[in-house]
Amino acid sequence: MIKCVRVDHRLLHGQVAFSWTKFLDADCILIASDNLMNDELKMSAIRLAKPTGVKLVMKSMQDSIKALNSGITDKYNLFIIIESIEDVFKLTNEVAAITSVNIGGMKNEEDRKQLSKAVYVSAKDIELIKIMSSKNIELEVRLVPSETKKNIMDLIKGE
Amino acid sequence: MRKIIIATHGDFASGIKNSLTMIAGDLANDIKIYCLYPGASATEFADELRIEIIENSEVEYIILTDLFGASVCTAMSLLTIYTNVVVLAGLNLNIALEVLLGKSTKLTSDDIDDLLQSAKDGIQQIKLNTEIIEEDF
Repeated sequence: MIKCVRVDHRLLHGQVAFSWTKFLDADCILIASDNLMNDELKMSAIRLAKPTGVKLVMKSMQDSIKALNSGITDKYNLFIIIESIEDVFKLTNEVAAITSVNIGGMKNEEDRKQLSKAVYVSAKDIELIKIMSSKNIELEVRLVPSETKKNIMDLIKGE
Repeated sequence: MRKIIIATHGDFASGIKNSLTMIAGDLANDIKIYCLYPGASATEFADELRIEIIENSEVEYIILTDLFGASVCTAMSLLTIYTNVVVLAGLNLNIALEVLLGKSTKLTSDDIDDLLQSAKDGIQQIKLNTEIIEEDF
């Protein structure tokens, strides 16, 4: 079963490997990213960050969607990590089982505005967020599990 | 209930608490720290702690210290006579995170062995291996 879907541009790092994995009691992490699959070196670095006792699977977006819909992942307490709003939009469109998304970190770039300490969004991101929200997908901002969930729509409205 | 205490030479304790807050968030707020500075004595802190420990016998005290055999560790070692106290030396982020995020029931000696092992596992030379066979579901 899918325990959590998280958007985090840093993918697998300390907060994720320790705090989230333990909090969720996850036994399998799926990183779904086309960019990552084209970067052997980055994949190696991510393998180093794998928490002990947890399975780590890295797949392209298309292969991830296929695997999630096939039922093969049902036996895991699965923690899915995605790099961007664009990718999570694709994923939620194709995988009906996803009803909630945690927004962890999105880096600052040109043309992005800040919504919270670690979340920056583009105008396009906001469009996609609005569409997902209209489909009743929960989009909550939290860096670490002990924080209180903040609805991203409230943060957008507050701008 | 568990109380975590980090006692070190100089600012290591406050520094590692800051790092723990970055990784684990508010959970790290309740960690009590002691930084030993020149001219001070860790036994005074140990004596303060002793009173707290005796008064709160239902609380499990996990005391993390830096250098094995050095004065902070030695001062804290005197507290191990109490059954609700565990003192560990060789502090690093791995062991602190394991104590902070791990199971909250009273630690058994097996649990402590696991903690120490994970702290040791965190110390290693980094080598990237691009030939690892990919894991799949």
